[in-house]
Amino acid sequence: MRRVILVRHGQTDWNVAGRLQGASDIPLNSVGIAQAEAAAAALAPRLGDVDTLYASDLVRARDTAAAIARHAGARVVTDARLRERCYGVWEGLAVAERAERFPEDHQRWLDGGEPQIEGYETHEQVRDRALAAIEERADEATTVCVTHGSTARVLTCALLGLTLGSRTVANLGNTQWAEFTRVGEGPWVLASLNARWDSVEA
Amino acid sequence: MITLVTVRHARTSYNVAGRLQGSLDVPLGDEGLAQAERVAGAVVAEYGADLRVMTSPLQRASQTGVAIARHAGVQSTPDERVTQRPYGVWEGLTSDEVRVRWPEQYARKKAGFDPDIEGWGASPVVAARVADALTDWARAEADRAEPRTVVVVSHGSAIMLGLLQVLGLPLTPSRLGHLAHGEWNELHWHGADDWRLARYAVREHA
Repeated sequence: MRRVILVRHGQTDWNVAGRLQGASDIPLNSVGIAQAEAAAAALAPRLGDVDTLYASDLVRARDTAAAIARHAGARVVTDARLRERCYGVWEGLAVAERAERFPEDHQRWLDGGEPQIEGYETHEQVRDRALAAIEERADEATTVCVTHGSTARVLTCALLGLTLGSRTVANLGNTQWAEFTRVGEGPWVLASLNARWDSVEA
Repeated sequence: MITLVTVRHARTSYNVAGRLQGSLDVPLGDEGLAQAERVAGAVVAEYGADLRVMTSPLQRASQTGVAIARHAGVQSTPDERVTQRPYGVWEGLTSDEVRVRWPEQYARKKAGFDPDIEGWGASPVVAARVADALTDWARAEADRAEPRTVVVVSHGSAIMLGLLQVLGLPLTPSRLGHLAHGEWNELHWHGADDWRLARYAVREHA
């Protein structure tokens, strides 16, 4: 049986402010650092013999992965294909700013479509590069990827056969994870989602 | 938005022995009742006491639901529509016994499909009734000035099929994994057909 575990990084100040980060390299805040420790303690015992964790090279993911790696006695290999979706000119903007400055694209996004703004990475583009990062490690029994909210959701849709961009399965909370299992060539199955008991209050 | 929490009942002696229950009405023993108390404490800690508690009429679920309701200071209500899928002629048997006597049908079930055996509750039928119940209760809460979180205590297969149905996923083979006893899922209903899975396979904090 193969397992894939997608972990979302810990909290950052931009998460709290509701600012889209995308490729912007915002660090964990103090809550995020504590969350990473708590998540690492909860997740490490479930990883078995894993010796390598994969992480987006953005610092919020890298540092979250480092905490898990310490608890699991594993090393971290960074992979830019696990980065958050690029949001281009929307990066740094909160919802109200996007609605005001880009009303049509914002509405499109609310309606489940994709904005047509400069620098935005589409669902397909995210899926292609992020899925490659997972499929390259297909010979590993357990693949742990520390990644980001939007990228994780696109991957979830891809693995479960949902339309990319579907909101049927919720986003991961900070330092929460989604675990998928697969037997042979069978379908990927969702084993858990946002299941960690988050005792670290914001 | 209405929140629904689907909880799998606590373990019975049949569960421990690996015996299929289906429509058999095995009550919780001391271990199960203790587990029900822990689950009840966790659910109320997580979701508060302003709950609507609905349960399958089978004792293993209703007893678990009564524990949750008591911790919340509310009453629980049975609903036939979230009872377990009947397992027909397999009820009371262990997986090993089934595998030996019905090798082909066992393989079908393991692959995630409905076996062709007498008395088996077909996936579309079970999925539809559970989905109806979830939808009715969600709508009932939405009509209230202050909607409550709906806690539904049911069974592994029934919960899985109901979720697959409302989420619009194929019923067979399932894309949702095994739910252990006392684990729960959290669903959000945003009106009409807009159901979202917020959390899957959450358990009481060890």
